[in-house]
Amino acid sequence: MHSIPWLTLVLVVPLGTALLLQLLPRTAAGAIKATTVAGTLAVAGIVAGLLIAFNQSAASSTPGRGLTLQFQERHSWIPGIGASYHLGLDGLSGWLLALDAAVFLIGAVVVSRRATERPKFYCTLLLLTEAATAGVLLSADLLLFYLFWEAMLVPLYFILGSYGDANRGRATIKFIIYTAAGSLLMLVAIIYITFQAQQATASAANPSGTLSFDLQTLINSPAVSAAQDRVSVLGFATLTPAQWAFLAFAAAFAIKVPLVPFHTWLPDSYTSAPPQVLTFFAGIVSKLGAYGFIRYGLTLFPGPVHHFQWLLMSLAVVSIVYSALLALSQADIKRIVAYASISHLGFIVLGIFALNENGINGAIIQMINHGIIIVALFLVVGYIEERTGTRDRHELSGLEARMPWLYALFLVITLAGLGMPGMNSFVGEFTILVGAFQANPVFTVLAGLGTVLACWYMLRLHQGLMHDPIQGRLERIGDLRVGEGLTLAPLVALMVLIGVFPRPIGDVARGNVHQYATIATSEPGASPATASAPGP
Amino acid sequence: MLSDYAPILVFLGICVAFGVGVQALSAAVGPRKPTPEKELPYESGIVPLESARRRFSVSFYVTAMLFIIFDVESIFLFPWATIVRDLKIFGLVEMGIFIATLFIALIYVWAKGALRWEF
Amino acid sequence: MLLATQNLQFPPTRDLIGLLPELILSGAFVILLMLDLVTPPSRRSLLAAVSLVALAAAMGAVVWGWFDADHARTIYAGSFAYDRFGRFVDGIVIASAALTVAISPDYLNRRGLHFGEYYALILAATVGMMLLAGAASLIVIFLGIELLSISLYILSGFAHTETRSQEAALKYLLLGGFASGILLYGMALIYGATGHTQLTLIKQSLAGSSGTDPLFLVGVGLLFVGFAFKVSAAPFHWWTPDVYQGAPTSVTTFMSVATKVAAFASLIRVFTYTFADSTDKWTGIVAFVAIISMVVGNVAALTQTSLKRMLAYSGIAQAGYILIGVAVSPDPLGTVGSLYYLAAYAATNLGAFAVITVLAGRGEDLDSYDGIRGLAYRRPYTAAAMAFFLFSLGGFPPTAGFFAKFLVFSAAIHAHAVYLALWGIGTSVISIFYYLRVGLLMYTRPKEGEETYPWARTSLAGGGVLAASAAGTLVLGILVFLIYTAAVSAQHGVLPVPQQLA
Repeated sequence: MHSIPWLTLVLVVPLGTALLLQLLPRTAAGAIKATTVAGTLAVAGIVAGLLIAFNQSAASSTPGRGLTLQFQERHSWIPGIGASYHLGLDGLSGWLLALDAAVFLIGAVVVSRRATERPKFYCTLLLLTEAATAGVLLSADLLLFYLFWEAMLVPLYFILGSYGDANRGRATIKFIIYTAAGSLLMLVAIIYITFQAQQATASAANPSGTLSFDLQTLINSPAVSAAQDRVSVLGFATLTPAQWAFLAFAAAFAIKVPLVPFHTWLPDSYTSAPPQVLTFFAGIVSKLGAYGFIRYGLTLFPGPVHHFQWLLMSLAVVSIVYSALLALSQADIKRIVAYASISHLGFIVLGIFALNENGINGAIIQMINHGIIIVALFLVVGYIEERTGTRDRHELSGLEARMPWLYALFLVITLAGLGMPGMNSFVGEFTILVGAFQANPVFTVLAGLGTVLACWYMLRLHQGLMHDPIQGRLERIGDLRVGEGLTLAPLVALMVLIGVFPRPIGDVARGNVHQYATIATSEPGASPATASAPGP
Repeated sequence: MLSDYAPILVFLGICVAFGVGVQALSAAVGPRKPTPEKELPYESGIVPLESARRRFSVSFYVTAMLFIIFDVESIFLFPWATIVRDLKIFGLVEMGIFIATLFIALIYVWAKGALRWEF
Repeated sequence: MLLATQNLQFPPTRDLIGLLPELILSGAFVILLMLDLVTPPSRRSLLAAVSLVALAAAMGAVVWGWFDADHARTIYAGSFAYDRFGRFVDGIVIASAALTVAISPDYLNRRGLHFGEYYALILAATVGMMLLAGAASLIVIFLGIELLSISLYILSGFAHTETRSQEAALKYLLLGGFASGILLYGMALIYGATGHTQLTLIKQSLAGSSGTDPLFLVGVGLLFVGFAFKVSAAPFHWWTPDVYQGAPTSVTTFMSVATKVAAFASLIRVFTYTFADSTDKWTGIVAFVAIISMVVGNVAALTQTSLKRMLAYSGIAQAGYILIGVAVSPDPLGTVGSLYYLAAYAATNLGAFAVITVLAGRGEDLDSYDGIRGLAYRRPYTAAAMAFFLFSLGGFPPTAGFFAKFLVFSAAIHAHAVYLALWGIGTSVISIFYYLRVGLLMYTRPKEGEETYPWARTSLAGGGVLAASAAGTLVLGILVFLIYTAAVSAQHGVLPVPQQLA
């Protein structure tokens, strides 16, 4: 098993498929789409195999303060600066990789069923995005991670810039500039902490120390949080270098998630993008921000994480409540879903910064749930818009009569979206709230307000669209086609399945979640100088 | 080290003082009775017919430039001549290459028509 | 007198071999002039082929020299450095020249500018740049700069019937001459302060002194201004947009890349390594110019509507990023970063200008933003290549531009100059806006019945050049160790002898 570089295959298969597409003529739309589906299916197959073969007890049986990765591959990349091609899978990235493979498969299936302008271009970009996002999840080297993190923007730029409504140019540039600004700050922080860690490894034999971008090395380097000389900017905000570095990372991730007030790119680009793009754009990209918070934020900066716990938790609560209120005030159903998405992502961040096992576990479950629900919601919105030609809530009503199948599926999705017990969101949000309550009851109560608001806007949306007397001009529309129904059905089935049987997620993730929680609450090394101020 | 140059500065100063002094002296002491004839560019020569600021054929400039280029390059022969014996055969080859390059330039200029007067 | 004391060998074979690439290209220059006289106008592509053969031979000599120059030494009585640093830069310059020559015949034919002197002048400029890259004496530096500048003055006015090209040539000549004067003045003052023109001896005479001699400091300042002009760093950049826009695009392609590379090489050799003992006196100024360049270049590029002017301002900004590597002297990582950046910049910027050159139709150059609207719908691969270059200029992985920026920012942070890295990323974010705006234009569908610019058909050579630049940009972005290792080795062997890379 280990002789085959499975993780590399996860990257190579989409890239190879993208290259293969270049050999096909531009007009052979059928063959192009079939190849794309086959490629994404192959990735999904590999990922499923990886999850089955995943050793659930490996992490629990590893003592000490560290992160256990499986299926590791490590090759020298840029020896001069200690960057390596290091891939590895843990319980967190394993599930997100599954989500990643799933949303791209759905994205490929959806696009294969509808006429797409320039299919070769589109499918190539879809596969490149899949490779880049998978790379973000698999890399265990900071430079490699950053490479994929930024490279992801390149295909997304072309997809968002070429497909979408009239406002796409502005929306795309806004998205890219927001995310790139955050990422570049993170790059400076990455360079800074690696040099710090290098200095700490200096010895008489090796006076300048060893430079390494390896995550596992950096997690255990006491140097990252060792520097205590405080740095202020224009006389304000006197913080230690490690705290600045954490804030730089947090900026990158908070923009990607996004958290209020870094969210303004999201409604624009989600509204502009067509549904087949949103399957993977909304499905996985925002989860990568949350993933980054756990994988890099918690592990590299245990001290600053506690110092800024209140900040991140309050931003999360603000996101939850503020976006829920915005969702209530929208007329465009796509914008409602977009704001609902931000609100739900707030829960994930809240769970992460509870900094305990319950919170992180809930965040992981909720990341999967959010991926499933948001993809389903955007597909539903797409189907409705396609048939009625409008996204205005007030112009839509009584669709139940014309679209009984959509009605049924949408009902389940709505219930999942508002966190009904027995549905998948409930499991995730409940676990998050338990974790958050252990950390800070006040924030938890405020976040609970978000679930109430979610009931309000989700039910109002469903009722408004489905019940009420039908408006005259909607009389002619038809129900979902079989293919469309079959695209939605597995998602809906998953919502119910995870709702009643969430154990597998927890089982796979548990060992690593414990490690994350341990790392986040302890300092590397035994140096007393590194003790940090506890959070409020 | 800079003080080594002090005599030069003194010399410069004397030169300037002498030049300015003589001019000033003649302006102060000499008698001046200007007449139209005395104001002419050539006091006892031919009376100018028109302004000197007229357009010349571009060929003048091209020829002048080419002359200067080849003229200056041939100056290089003089320092070479002083050490040609020390350089032995190598020096001869080097100068051969140099002259050949100059010759090629001449051919090029000739073939391009830069030496033709009428266009 | 000087000759006698140096105990010269005749013939100085070792020295001649050290200049082999330059000699090959000089020979080719003469041959090209002669060939031009006998070649009928319709067959001038032959001259391009001859130039390419000569450049290939010179490249071979440079590669051989890379291995031969393992132990760096000066040749010609200490006036020329035979080291890996010089060979590294020579490699970039020759590659740029070869790619430029390859796209030129088609372009010049379309523009009706196909004259034989073009290739000879490109080779002459290349020789000048290589001399500059290896120059270990103030005199040779000046010689190199003048040789490359005079060739480029003529080349930028090559479209002699167009007012804009004439303006470019005249502006470049006047301002370039002015800059050369300042440079020479600086050299004279440094000679006056140290009594030497050879960099090694200057370095020796500076050792131990604190470098506070005002004569020397003024000289350093003037020298820097002269170099800053040649690398088009702000605030000495005013000529750049006009000249880049006015010159024929193939000339701009070459000029924007190779001049900057060669001038930076010399700047690094003189400042980082010769004035190594007085870095605290001049790094502040360099850092200031770097910041000004990044800000001015990127902000001014925002409002452009001409591709060439946008790329010109982008080049000014890139000069700022490269200067970061000089501003962190004597940190050896800075030189490595700058060298890597130069290689990355050459591959990327050459590619971007090559796209504009290859697409230019008859008559007017392709220049306005409107000219590339909808390019992706007619020329998908050319548009993809251009987008790739724009992403590289913007510093996105997996392209050369990312690692170039990464390395200079690393150098800044390593040298505890985090503020330089922060200025760098702040301005990078601005730059993304205008690079991506151009990218989006290419992917905007032309309206029904809307006329697009009459793009020329991409010839085999043009396509090859674009592919080569894109491949270079990609290799520098993924197989980083190849060039990184070479850059480290080049830094390691640079003359005058450097502080070792830890």
